[in-house]
Amino acid sequence: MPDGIQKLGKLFRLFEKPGEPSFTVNELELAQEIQANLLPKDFPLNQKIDIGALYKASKYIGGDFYDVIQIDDRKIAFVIGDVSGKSLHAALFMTQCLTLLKVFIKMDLNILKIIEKTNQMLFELVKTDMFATVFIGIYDTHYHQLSYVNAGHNPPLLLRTSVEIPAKDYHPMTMLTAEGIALNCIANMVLEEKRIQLYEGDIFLLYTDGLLDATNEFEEEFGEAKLKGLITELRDLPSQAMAEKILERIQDYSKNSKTESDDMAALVIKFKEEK
Amino acid sequence: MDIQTKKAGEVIVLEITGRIDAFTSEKLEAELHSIMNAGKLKFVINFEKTNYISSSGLRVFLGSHKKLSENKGQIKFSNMPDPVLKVFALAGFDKIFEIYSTEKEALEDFNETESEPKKQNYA
Repeated sequence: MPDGIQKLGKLFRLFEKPGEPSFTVNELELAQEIQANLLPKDFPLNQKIDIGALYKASKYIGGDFYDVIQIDDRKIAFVIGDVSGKSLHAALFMTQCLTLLKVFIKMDLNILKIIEKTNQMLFELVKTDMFATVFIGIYDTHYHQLSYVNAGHNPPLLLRTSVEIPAKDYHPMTMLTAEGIALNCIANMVLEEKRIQLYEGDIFLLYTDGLLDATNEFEEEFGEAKLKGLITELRDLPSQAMAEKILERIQDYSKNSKTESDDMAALVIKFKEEK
Repeated sequence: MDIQTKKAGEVIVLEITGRIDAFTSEKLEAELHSIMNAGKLKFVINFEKTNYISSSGLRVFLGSHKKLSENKGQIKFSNMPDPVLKVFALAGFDKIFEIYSTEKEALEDFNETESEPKKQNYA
């Protein structure tokens, strides 16, 4: 097992004892900075794909994560995930998940192997009740196909904007579901791999449940229907502008809520014309 | 959130009223751990009056399930309203947990696994 991962495991076990130690604001701010540095700032293959991101931790540190990883000159991986809980414990587990996923993705393994090996390592190393839901999509820019697996995460939304595609599986709005179970629940998991053909103009939204669970002053959740309506309304914006607008609108919706908000993360991905 | 506890033979039944979220899940966890530390190994959680569960709630049940499995214990779930079942199903927990329509069925399943060979039911 790589040395870095062993050390992370030891560090993690410090927080398993009852009565989690309290931390100063400076320490939490430092943890926030470390987490922010884990998240990508620039996105690859931007002549083929336009990517935008939103991220908001509910407190200093969060359990949500996302990543965009270039595997080779034509394949790119999209990851989004959510760790149960909002403590420093959850944040450490989050860094562990993301690091493992990134390592196995970079090795260019089959998508099922990526998630199975990540789960096996976590289950071996992290003896805790924490779990993480994760969606991984690997896009082949040559064939315009997306392979994906879903380990218990909210199914991403795919909005088709072209009305001219005659394919049988073409629907204006699709949710990318696949059978699976969250990470670190059982030792050996069996998931379903699916594939979908993508077309120019398609818009892909990966998100965490914080976007759906945001409530207004009447404790009404923002919900899936409003999110679908929102991405349809904003579809002509560039991806980053779209992501920022989504965050702005949800924050506005929940500004008078009595319930504390959850972490929020999303990736907006637009597939461009092949030139 | 309110927890009503009752005994059905060796099985402890918890009826949970209200929300299981990041705040109330701590109380739920404490209650479960306290009963487990007293040596109880069989649980049924009745969700009939539960109107919301978050991932923090799922984490408490996952932790209890793991701890009980190590000690040859078991936790079963019953009477889930659709919003609660949906949260379990999304995370794939319906594949690892035993979920029953009614408390009676969950308790019967505990009894059946311990008793002599099953009697035949002739419809």
